[in-house]
Amino acid sequence: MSATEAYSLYSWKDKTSEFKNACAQLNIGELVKEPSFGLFEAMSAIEMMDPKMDAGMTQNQTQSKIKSIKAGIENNLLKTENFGLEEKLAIVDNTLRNLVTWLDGSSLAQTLFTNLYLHDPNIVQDFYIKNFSIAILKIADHMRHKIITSATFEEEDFQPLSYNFKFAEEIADSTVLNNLKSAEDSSAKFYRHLKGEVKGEEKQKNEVEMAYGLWYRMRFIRSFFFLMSSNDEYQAFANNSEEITKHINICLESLTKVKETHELGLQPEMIKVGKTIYPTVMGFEPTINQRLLPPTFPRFIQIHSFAATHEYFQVLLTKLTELIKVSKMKTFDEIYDFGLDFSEIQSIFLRSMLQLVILPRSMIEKVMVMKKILLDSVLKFISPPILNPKCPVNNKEVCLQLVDSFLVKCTPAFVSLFQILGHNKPRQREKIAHVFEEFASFQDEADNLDSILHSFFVQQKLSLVHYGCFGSWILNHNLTLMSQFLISGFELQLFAKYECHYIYWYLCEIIVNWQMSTLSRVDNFLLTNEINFLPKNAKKPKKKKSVFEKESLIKTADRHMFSAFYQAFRAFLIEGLVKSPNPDFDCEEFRYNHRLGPFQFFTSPAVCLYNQFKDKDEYFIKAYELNKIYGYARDHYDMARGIYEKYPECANQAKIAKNNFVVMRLLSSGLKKLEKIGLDFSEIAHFPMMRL
Amino acid sequence: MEDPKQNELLKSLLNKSMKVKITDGRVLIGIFLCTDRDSNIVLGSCKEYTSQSAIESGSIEPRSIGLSMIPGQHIVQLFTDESIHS
Repeated sequence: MSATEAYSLYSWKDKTSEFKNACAQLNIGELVKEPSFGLFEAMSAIEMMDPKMDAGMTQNQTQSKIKSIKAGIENNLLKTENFGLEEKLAIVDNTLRNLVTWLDGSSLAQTLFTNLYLHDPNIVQDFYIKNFSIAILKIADHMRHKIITSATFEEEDFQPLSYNFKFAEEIADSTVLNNLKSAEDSSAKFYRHLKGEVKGEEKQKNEVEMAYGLWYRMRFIRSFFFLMSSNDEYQAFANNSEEITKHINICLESLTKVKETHELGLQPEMIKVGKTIYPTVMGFEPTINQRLLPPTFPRFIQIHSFAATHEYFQVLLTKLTELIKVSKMKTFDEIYDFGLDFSEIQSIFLRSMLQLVILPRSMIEKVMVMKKILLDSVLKFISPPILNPKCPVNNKEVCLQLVDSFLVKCTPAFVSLFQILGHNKPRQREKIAHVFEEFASFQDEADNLDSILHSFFVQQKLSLVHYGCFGSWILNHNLTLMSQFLISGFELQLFAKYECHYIYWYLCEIIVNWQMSTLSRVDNFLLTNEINFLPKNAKKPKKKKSVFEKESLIKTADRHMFSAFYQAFRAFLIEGLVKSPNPDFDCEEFRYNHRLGPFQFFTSPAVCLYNQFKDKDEYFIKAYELNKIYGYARDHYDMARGIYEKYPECANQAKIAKNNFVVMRLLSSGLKKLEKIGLDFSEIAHFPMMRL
Repeated sequence: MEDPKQNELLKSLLNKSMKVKITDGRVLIGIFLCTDRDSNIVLGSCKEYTSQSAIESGSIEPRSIGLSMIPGQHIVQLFTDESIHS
């Protein structure tokens, strides 16, 4: 039954005055209400004519001129052919601005689909605008699918709702690609033709420039469509990287030309709807979809400027090039480190692409690929003797099966850990805390596996060692996770200054200490087994440089830094340079447990209890005077600086260590009493720069 | 003084369809749930039409807004449904 038919079933009778009279008879505060209607329901009612709640009001007040694409054409408010060149450029540029705004978290109804041509692109007669519109619809659909498939967005990142808009599903990707190719070719031809005719008049020159702009817009959209239309990024980026690079470069080149010719197009009129200012050119109607929005909706959005749009695309394309590199990476640590840096970027689309490039879409393939990655990682980290083809153990089949089932057990957790990387930073921290329990359980699994394998070796009187092999790998991995978890707290500015000292203490005394001992154990393990694999009469190799030399050294430097920061912050607290909260309203133990509580599942290292920390902490501050504590911090900064300076990539750390060293030297000398200390967390979030 | 008859009239309208035209020309149709002295009205399962002519022509689908409260001062006209099925 249509809305009109339903409506015709009513027979309305005007009761305005009767009703108002009847109401006026009521006492103040008296309600006539349906018995089941209570205050609770009343709370959720939206108030009509209240600009904060009533979305429909905005649309009716602005009296949008065009109610639908068909009505617009009938009333001659909308062209479908004979566009001026400047109009074409403007429509393209404005659409791109809306596309980017949508990708940044606004709703489709308020952004892209304010472009009326996208509601029914087939109605458009103009060849370029029609194909451009279809391509944009397809691109939006592909992007939306990619983001939804990777499932790494939250409501603050992206709005996947499609409002039943049509995304030109009936047209195949290949047809679109062909049409875009002919659009590009004919726009190029048109430009050359125009250029040949021009006689030097200013107006004509402008025309030529605009035709040039149109050509590059078509070129851009064609290559961009190619990049977006892939349904298997995992394969495409690994095997077809040359073609992808080619199209990225075309896009980047065209993008600069688009920017150069942007000024030639019609400049949009700024239409204010509520608080939002919509840039509007012909074919756009800001409030056309207002009635699709739910009653209460953040109606204030900001459409990206053209410059911001240009930058968005530029970043997007450059980052896609980086993704080609990552598809060649083999070990989990490499990929994870890359992903950590990559997830700093705002764009949800790029973060989703990372997921799709590293792991295939189907869950079964995902697990298989991840297992391969984990196997490569273990091999690289500790090269387990059992995986060595020369390993002489008798029941090798059984052993390999055990290793395999261990990896199979770990894989899903690593897949979800990697997926967490696709989320925005605050969500990442929250989600990582949830997987700790699972990763902690792998420690036991790995230790069991090691002892079984080792017992086989012992039974068969082999000189090989298998203790602490898979165990060390998982341990090292878990420690890295823990330190990342704490450091991300600094990045997200979660810690108050009076909390920092126990975080630094934990990082230094527990996490980095364990990491360093794990690395040196792995080093010995590798050396022992290398010797054991040699034929009996072969010479023993000289002790080589450690595989983890650089890693251990940087860890040592980090340890000095954490230690120095612990001492410095402790001293600041005593001196009152960092204010501690009023003890009546504060419980340090409670805060300590809250910050480190997520580690409770780990058994190695088990979370250090508050009173253990407090014992050591008090022992330390009672044993030394303030100057001495500053002196220790000074020495630690100095040692850290010495190591950092060897590595150019640690230049920032070295700078901070040096700066803080100077501050500590001054404070330890006792010559200067400070009233205030400045802490600048901007350069490296977990290593603040001290300023006098 | 309160007139019991008037109160009965309002009570008889409860849970019936009601159509309200408001100051900006929009028309709201929903189930009458509650009112007070200032004739503020609460309508349940409310549908919003942009204008009376939009309902008749059927060109624009209504927007469902669910529970809504219409301040008495914004009510221009108010209709009740007299058809048999109500």
